Amino acid sequence: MAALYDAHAGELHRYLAARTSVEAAEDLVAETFLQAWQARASYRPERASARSWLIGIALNMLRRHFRNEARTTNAIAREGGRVQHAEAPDVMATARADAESRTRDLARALAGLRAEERDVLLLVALAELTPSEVAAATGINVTTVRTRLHRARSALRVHIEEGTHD
Amino acid sequence: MTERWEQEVDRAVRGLVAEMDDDARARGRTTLMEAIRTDENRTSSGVAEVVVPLAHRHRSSGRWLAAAAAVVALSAAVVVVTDAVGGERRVPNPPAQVEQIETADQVLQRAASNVDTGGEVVPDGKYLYVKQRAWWSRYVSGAPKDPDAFFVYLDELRIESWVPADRTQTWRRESENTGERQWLVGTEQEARAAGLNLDVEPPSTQQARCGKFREDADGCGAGGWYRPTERWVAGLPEDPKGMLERLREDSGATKPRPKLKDPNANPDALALQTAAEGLHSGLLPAKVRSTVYQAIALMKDIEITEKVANLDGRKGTALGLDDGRNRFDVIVDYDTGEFIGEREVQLKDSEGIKAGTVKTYTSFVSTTVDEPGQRPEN
Repeated sequence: MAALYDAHAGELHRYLAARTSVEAAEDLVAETFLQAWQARASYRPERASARSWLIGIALNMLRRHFRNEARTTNAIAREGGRVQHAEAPDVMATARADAESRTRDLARALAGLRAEERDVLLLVALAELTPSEVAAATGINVTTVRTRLHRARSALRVHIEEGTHD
Repeated sequence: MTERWEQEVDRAVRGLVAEMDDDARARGRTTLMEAIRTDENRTSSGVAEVVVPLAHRHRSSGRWLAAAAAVVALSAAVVVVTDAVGGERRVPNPPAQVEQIETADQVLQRAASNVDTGGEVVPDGKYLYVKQRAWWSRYVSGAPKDPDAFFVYLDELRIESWVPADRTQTWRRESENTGERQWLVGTEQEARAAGLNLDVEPPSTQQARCGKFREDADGCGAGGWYRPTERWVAGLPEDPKGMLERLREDSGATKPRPKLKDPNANPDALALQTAAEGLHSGLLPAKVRSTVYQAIALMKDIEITEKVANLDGRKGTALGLDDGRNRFDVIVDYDTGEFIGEREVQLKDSEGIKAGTVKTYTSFVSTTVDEPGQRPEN
């Protein structure tokens, strides 16, 4: 488990931080590995790489995280409290505020992608999964994964190329 | 092959996110290893030692600590489950395993790959023991003293079979209606007052070569999903897609919906029931079971309904489809590839039965024993 942590904690953290926040990511990484430890008997290396297995667990943690956030928000609203409906304080938001315009433009373009395309791109770019691993972790057909990935990258390409001409 | 521009896009996206800093990495590693050590101590000592890592006081919520504590603090609380099967029954709280939700496809692929092909062949001279314990629903319209009476109840059947390695030899079958009932509409008292005969048949034992307890149940002949014979199994498709088509065809699902009363029903619900028939016969070879699981994974809208305890308390993942009126689930243990059981759940209030009522619930066990009549130890 230590070896697994050393090999994959960084990329998991990167992905989870992009989806939530740096703070939440640390907790979520820890919970992911803890659950991986609990579920270790069910891991079958011939069916899934360690990376895609871990990301599958992380995605479940993420879903629970968002559900808990929504429940807390609703509970506060029901109590008559004021809820600030901010976007998740993600690093993309930080990047958008960045003085560096290139970074800002890219972050904005990323935020403007369709959710399903952005999700696939983040899994590949940040969690370093292959399209097959994304398919295994999410249950999405691998052809669909590749299509979404291509669309997402193509949409961002112009911002990379513009940037290199600065 | 990823093109250069694609790599650059990925690199640029990575550049938007801060890397995990060394302190956070080290902290996470330490806390994880402490939790694992604590879990291992608990496992070896049998005592729940709640050791919460003190070094880790995270600036955000204590959720990570709570998760670690939940892992080590096994609760012995008893959960009361109320459903139509067996009424209120007490089942042990499942171990404090963290919930792991996967797609139906992942569950079935794992089950398919974990089917035990090693323990498959029944050695010469021994017997395949198959046990089903089932609660099945009975609908009764009209009673001797009340023609308008309507009752629905579940009764419990136990069916055990001993199938010889050489299928042409004598099979043994013991069946028993235990007399236990669960009333969904009406009560036992009302039913008896209406003149209904609720006596159960005495337990029966049958023996027959080829398992031919009935004319249409020849275990050496043409066969079918209800009674897979070696000859019939040899003719089954070996690929999942072909198997799915065969299930659809044999279930009548490809005909213009003869059994589906709801035009919106999923026709694969019939195919799933057909698959279950084969699985609970206990006579499908491991390789075929594996292909059947993969075929189920291809069924339209197949989904995980939940991790449930089956009738005899074995835990598995339920995968189901609905036909508009009822949802039919098969329950599998994806760690071992074993078929555990099946159930049928009513989806809408109807005929005095509430939505969510379990109307059929069966458990299934199969293993090898030395002699007919012998039961496994546990």
